[in-house]
Amino acid sequence: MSDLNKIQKEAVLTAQVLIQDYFQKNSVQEDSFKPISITTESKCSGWAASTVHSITIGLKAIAEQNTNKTIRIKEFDEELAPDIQGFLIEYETCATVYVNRALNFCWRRFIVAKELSHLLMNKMEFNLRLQDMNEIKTLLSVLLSPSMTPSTKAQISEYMAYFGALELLLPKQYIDNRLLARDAEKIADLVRSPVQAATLRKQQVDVFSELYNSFPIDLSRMNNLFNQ
Amino acid sequence: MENTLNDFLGSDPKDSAVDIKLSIENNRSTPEELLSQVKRVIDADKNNILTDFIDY
Repeated sequence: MSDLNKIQKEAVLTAQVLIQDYFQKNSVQEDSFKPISITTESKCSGWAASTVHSITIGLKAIAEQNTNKTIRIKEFDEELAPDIQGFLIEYETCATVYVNRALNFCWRRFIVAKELSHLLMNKMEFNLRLQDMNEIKTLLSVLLSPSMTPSTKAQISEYMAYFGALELLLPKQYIDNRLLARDAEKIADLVRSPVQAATLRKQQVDVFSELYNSFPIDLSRMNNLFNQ
Repeated sequence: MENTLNDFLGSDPKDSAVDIKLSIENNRSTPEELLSQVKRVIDADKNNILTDFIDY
């Protein structure tokens, strides 16, 4: 299995383990298509009120349990970092996800989900982490240049985290209940994801099916993968 | 000279920074400019002027 395939599988697998926990702990119906909650603060109204009040533990809290790290999620003004949608800084005992407030709500959710996916993948494989500033600058050069091909695991993981984010917000459980039978705009409205994410998820249905088929049959035992 | 992420961020040595991952808005920037923007956000966080992300 190539590094790309391996890391892609890890991105989706680690996300699905989190989602299984989320569905079980919140007693979510798999055909409800309700937005997957990242946080569970109750400062909401309107359409969100009935949804969030039924969720007792969001993805952030479950990720904290799985990674054994305190996770903060902060928003920044666009004027501080106009060229950045979001970023993750992981420390030995904690992690902070930063997201650009100028993004619309659905994009902020997707970017946060993508950074959480990085955290989950890092727990599985330490080679995905970067601490050397020269390597970090090389990674940024790859991200900034469409002509450069990601070659290291850390570089590949930058792209594969998007697959993890897709699994977190448009999970297998909803796909199995025919969420994708709708058009992308309707899907995005239901699950509160960007329309582009819903479109990509529809386009990648075969890729995800192949990944799901390669998972261990008993995913409940896979929670141990976070205890390595 | 900043050799490590920890040096760059000026993190507490008792809790070292072990990784950074970025989602980039546009590709017209440079690595140095992006890192400069990261530092501005980190400094704003240290000064408690960022807000919490709330899902709803």
